[in-house]
Amino acid sequence: MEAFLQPGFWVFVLVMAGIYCIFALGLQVQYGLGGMMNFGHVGMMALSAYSVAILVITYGWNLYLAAFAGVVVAAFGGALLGLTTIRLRGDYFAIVSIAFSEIVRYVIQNSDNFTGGTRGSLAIPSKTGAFTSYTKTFEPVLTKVQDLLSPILGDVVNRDFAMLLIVWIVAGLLLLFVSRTQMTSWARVLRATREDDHVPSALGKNVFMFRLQALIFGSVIAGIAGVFWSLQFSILAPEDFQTIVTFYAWMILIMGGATRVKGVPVGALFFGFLYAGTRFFEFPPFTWFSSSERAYLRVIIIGLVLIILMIKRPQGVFGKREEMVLEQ
Amino acid sequence: MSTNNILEVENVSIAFGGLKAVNGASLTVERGTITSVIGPNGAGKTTLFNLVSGSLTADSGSIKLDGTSIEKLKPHQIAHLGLIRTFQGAKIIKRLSVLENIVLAGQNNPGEKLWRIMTPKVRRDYEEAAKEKAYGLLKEVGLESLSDSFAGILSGGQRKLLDLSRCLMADPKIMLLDEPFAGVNPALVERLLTVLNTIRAKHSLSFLLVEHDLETVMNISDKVVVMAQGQVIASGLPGSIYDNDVVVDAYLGSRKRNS
Repeated sequence: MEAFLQPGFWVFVLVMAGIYCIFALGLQVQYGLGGMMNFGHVGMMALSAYSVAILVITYGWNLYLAAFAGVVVAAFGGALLGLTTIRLRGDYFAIVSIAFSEIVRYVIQNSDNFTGGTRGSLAIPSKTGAFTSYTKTFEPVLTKVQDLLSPILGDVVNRDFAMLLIVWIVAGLLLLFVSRTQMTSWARVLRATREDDHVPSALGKNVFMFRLQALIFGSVIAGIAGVFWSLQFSILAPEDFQTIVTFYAWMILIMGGATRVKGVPVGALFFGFLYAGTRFFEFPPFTWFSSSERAYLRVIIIGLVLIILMIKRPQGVFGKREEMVLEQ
Repeated sequence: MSTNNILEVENVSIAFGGLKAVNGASLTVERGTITSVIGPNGAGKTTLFNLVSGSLTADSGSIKLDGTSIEKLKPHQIAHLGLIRTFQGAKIIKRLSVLENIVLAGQNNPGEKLWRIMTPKVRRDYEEAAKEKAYGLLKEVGLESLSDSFAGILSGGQRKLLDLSRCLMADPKIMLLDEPFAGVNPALVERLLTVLNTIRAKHSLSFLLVEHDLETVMNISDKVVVMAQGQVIASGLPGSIYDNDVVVDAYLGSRKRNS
């Protein structure tokens, strides 16, 4: 219960909410706008996070260059997924995309000499042979932010707080950029393809290209989330990128309202608090269960909230109901 | 002589498994005319449409749009060349507004390129002009009061009208209408026919129609093509169709004899 009252804990929750916000934003472009049921979104985050770690540790790249490269790798991941599978419709695409992210994870898990395998990024072979942390050059930046802020804000400021600021600034800029793109004719064509392939193509739109662009765009954003994930944790492991992470992004989208960009940060905060907050149900009936059992309860409660939301407000907090339920 | 034809379909065939859905069909549409394809269910009318619009690729034969071969092109490429089609039952985009449904059809929209996010002025200028044009087209069919509603709330008849205006937005050379009068009450058929005639006069367009029923298209068609079992069995002026023995036997048969 004490951790519940610690500001540090909530700062951490907010950092994670920020990273998930960016991550889910990528899915918003793909699903909310383009109607593509991407269940393999986490694959792009894994590609980018691991690229950062490998490029810095094994190849001695500058961290920022590696971060850029990580995003590019995620974009290529999106292109690869798209070029091979985007012609599949709805459910079929969903199934293949899940397989894609699982392939990424298994390759990471089984390439011991390249990715560190099951031992995670700590075991990535370094150029010098000595142990190196790939975030070494980033820590001074965080320290600097802390030094700037602690005279003003006092004790709250720690590493996570600096991270919180950076993550949410980037998230804010991305939200702004993405919402701008969704006011364009580009977005209108994607909204049309969400319902039907034939009409847009009969009107001269290359549906395949629009979908591919949206998929790559979303993957780039997932790549940015992956960079922050790698910076936040300093250590990566294959099991960080299980399929469930993709579904956290889906929860965020559903809670916030998939068709509205502004729903994403709201959903992310909601998800962050729900996910972390439910750790602290230190009162009956939750105390009837042991703490490890309570971990499952948390997932059950999130599931219940989602079900209630789907029944009562299928459009999410911000979505337009007509846009979700208009079928006749 | 071929220069006067906007569309030339020559000897096209396609088979699905063992079934020859279209079997060596040929037809032409003269510039500025309305040609109607009629035939019973399963005659291959819609399949022929899908071949012309690129949704399907013919096994053999050639299709020329304004002198350009299009039989190998994709639907969106054919649309770029000025052939715009509708689908059976007026497929509209339900979750876009009525106005946006029409603006969607605009060609060469710079805003459809993602990088144009960097040039907001170019995008905005196009968008404003496009919206104005779209609104004008909506007015022509009397749907302007619904321009901001989701298209999904429109009635069946209104959807047909929206579909027509949407085609016009693309500035086509030829419009392919797939059963535009199916499931429409007689009053609305009149309205649609009037709209079609107005459009034709105003925009100097060519049309290819698919219809079930000869009576409906009788008055507006310059030429009627009769299909049965994947083949064109007759074509000519609407009046001449009634007197064609092959057609009478294959299609009009019973009705003609009874009347």
